[in-house]
Amino acid sequence: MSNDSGDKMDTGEASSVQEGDGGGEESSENDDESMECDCDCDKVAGHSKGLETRRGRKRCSEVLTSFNESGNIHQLEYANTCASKAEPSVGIVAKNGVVIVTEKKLGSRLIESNTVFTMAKISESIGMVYCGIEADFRQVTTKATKIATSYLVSRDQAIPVNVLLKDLGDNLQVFTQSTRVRPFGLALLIAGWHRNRAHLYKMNCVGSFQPVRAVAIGRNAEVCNTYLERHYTDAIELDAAIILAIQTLKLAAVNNLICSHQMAVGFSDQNGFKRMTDDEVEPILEHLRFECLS
Amino acid sequence: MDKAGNVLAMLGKDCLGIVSEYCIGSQDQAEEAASTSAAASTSTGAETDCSELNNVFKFGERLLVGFSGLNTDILEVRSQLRFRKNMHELKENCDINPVALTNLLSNLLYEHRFGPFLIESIVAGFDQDTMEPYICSMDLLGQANVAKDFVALGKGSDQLYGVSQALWRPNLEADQLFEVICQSAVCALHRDSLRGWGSKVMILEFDQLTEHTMKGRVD
Repeated sequence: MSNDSGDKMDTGEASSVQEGDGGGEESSENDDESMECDCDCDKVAGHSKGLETRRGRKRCSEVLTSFNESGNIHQLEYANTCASKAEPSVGIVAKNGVVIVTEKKLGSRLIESNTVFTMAKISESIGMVYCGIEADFRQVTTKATKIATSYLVSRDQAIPVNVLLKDLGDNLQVFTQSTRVRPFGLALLIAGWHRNRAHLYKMNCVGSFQPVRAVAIGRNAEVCNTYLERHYTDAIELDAAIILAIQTLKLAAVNNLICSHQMAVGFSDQNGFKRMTDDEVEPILEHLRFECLS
Repeated sequence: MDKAGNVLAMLGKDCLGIVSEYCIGSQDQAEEAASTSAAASTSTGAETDCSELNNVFKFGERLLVGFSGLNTDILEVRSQLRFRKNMHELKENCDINPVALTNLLSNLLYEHRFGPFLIESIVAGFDQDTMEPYICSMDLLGQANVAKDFVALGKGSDQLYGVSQALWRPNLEADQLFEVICQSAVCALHRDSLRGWGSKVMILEFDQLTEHTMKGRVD
């Protein structure tokens, strides 16, 4: 990404550009280097030139998500960075279902892991996991559930995943084009079963989504995606996909150690979306460890 | 509801039939039906196309919606339903199925709970995925009644139900269904000055739609 080029401009050059501008256009990197801002905001945040005060100092405006001269929006990239440093999630599409797994961030042993909210059931056959800020995820889950339920009420049918995501994406996009709000710090994996087919979508904080067959997001995503590319086949069955997803998650885990209460596993097939309990996940982990040991 | 035409829909084996009586309201339309041709001008200069007398509309390749009741309300509901159905299809990128259209229409009618459209409706069609025929009738507030055999609307619905109960049997083939539905429509005519101008029969199978016109007494 070319966003670093602006930051490396030296101060002298930046200030000469500003004096010529007179505060007309928005240019966040120039501000960062030489400007002192009156407000308490973080200079690195994507604030833009605002009104000139009498002393010639600039005040930042309240638009966080504005473009810089390289055509990037810093806040969105930072939000994506926030999501890519978070606890990993993996999703895999199988012939007869789709599985999504995510790692739970547990601060200590004393936290009750089964109450940590990481996986959401949006409708009868749609489930969602996230990477990023949990409170943002709760908001997005509420929005998605409302969309799905109102569709069910008005049409008496389960919502197709892509229709849900179009509406949800529109909701997320609002936060990238409004003042005084920040985008959600999230990357989402949405799994669903519709029309006798498994669907898996990846959505980022901007609200754009892509259908995928197997993907890992969050921490160490490149390692996981390489592993998935090597091991994923189209003909994989759901049980094998669950095992592959847990193995991939293990790759991304700290010290490659993970136990059943530190992960949430859910799958969607023709019977709907179901979240596996720790007792159901435990035998799979034992099976894997057995393989690893030998 | 004086201008209510009758509509009868029947289920057969992998097929369904709808017959809708021509709904006549004015002198011009009556002369038009009598000439039984396509668009032609009458002596008073008004032009009506025979197809305007029809109360059953295509809402997709395999979906028919029939109305009976106040003509102005039929036009309004038809265009509002068409809008909602088009929006639905654009969002989903695939043809709407009968259950969803029934619910769209039902919600549309109930939105006017305290000032309702004075119409009754029939939704008939094939589900794309299961390829099964589906018929459903609805009252003016959108209460849907999904039937396994037949549904009837309009002023003559009592007669239609009675005759259909006698004549209908399960697993009718397309040509048998055509006979049964025509007989039911003819026998159950609610005789007054607004009836007898003829009916349109549509037999819908999964891959084709056949339309016939039944001539009435025209007197």
